Amino acid sequence: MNQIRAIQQKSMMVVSKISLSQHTRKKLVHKASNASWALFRTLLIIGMGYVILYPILSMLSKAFSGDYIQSELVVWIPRKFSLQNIYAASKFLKYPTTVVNTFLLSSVSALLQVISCSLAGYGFARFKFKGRELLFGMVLFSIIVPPQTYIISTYLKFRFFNFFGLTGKSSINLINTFWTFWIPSLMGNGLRSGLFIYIFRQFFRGMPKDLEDAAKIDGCGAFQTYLRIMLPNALTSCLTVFLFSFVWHWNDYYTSNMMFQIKNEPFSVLIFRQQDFLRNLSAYNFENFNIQYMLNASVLISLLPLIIIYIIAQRYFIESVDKIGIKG
Amino acid sequence: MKRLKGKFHLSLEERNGMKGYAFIMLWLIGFIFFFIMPIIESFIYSLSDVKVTTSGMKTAFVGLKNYHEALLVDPNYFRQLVNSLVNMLYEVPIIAMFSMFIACILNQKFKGRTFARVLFFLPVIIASGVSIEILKQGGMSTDINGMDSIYMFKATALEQILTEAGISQKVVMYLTNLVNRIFDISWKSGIQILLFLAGLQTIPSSYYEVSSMEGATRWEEFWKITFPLLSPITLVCVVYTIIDSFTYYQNPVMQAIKGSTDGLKYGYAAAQSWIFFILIFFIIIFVLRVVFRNTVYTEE
Repeated sequence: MNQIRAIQQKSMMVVSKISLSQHTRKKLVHKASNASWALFRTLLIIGMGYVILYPILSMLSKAFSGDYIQSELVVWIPRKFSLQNIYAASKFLKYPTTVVNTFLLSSVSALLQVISCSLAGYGFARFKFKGRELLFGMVLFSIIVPPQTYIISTYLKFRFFNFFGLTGKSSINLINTFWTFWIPSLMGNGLRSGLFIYIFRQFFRGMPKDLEDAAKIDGCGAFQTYLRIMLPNALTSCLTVFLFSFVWHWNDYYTSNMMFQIKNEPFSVLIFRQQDFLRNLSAYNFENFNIQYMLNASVLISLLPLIIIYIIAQRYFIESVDKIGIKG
Repeated sequence: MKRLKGKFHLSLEERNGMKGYAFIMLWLIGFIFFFIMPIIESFIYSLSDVKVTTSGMKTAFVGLKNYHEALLVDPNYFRQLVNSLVNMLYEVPIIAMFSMFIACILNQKFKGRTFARVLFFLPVIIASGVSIEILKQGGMSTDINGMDSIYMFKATALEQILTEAGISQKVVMYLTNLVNRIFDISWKSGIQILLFLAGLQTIPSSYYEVSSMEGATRWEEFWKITFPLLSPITLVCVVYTIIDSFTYYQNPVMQAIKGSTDGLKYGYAAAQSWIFFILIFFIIIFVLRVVFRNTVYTEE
């Protein structure tokens, strides 16, 4: 009996030993795979970081370069620093005026879009009415229609502006004014408004119904409920939409190029014009400037306000991802 | 009197509906004025000969002449259409895969995650048509003439190695093209990464806990949980990428339409954009109906 027990104990020990070693082995493998994954991840992020930062760093290096001719010897640090490119670029871009113009255009449009798109998004999310699905389908449809299909008619609408015949037979010329962006934004049909309405609708749909019922019992009307209860809760979405709308307006070229031809141009239009201008000049072989350096300087000063805003507000950009909860 | 009142009396549901209309009214008026009307007008322009005078537009109906000119007479337009289509077919799957992969990485917890996210969203801020073109020109090569510099990175060594190894020319071309496009892809997928990250946040962590209890590996978790649950977002991303790739201002068709508009050929430009729009529309319908017919929706 004792012998049997001893054998049993021995075998038990062996089993436990094997299982222990297996366990540690599994742990080791797990650790090793985790470590290699972390290494791979780090390398990948560094590599992609290089790809993303490369043009930005090269832009900085070129914008501050004092050389006229691109030298093979220079990779990053220019032989001579100078501010002449920046100076020339800021002259061509009419710097302080254009900053104010572009800022005014982008921020007011973005604000109006937040207002109009959140209203429409709330309407689509919380009320049942006839044709709701159809109308929301139209919102989605407006996202996929490329703007070049109707931009000519939009242009003519503003060239001979007459809102449903409100001004009688005469029409106003709104080209070259900010109204070309502000009016569509106010009406919820600005740059990528469809997308913003979609974002707001998704957000409002996720809010608990009890909030509205409580507000109703406290005597709030529908609009008050929206203004006092829903909107404060949607602050992150509002901020996200505002930031994206701001950035997209700032960078927009296609529509701006149509709408601004003589004055009030934002940066994108002016930079494009500068590029054409410099290319034409280079046909005459002027030796004392470098087109690339000048253009890089222009891009740098035009993006500078945007980059500053991004650095300040990056927390909201990134947090918004966690909170906005876009669903397909 | 009482009966009349009864007729105008709205039920609670109907009153709620009226409130809904009130909320979307601003959008609806704007939509009719800035979307429906322009779209109908542009369709009429595409069927007519348009002249701009000081008093307004003058249109003369010419039927399908503009369409005929675009598709059968113009030597460039059809080629530009095919070019932008091929370009789209190239880009969309790569961008979708790349951004999903990056989003999965950025969703993990590690040191410096915030920094990595700031970095990857930077293209969203900067990637505007004009600026990015100029930055690309600047970064691509030291060649002063600007020749031979479509891509920022050129994988000539890779091309040589693969050709030496006896791999068919077509495959080599595709692979090197892919590597050369790394810059373009990483700069074009900012929004898509953002969308995928937002989508990943909506997957409950309990799913992963359960699957790891059951002994699933990370690889299995990705294919059995993450990938199917992300399919609605993937759909949004693919559609967004298709539209982005077509409406990108450097797109050859966009350039052609701009050229016609600058040349005051409004009718022809409208026809060109309508053909383009119909093409995009059918591609998106195809993607929705055929490619993504098995999309998984968890809620509602």
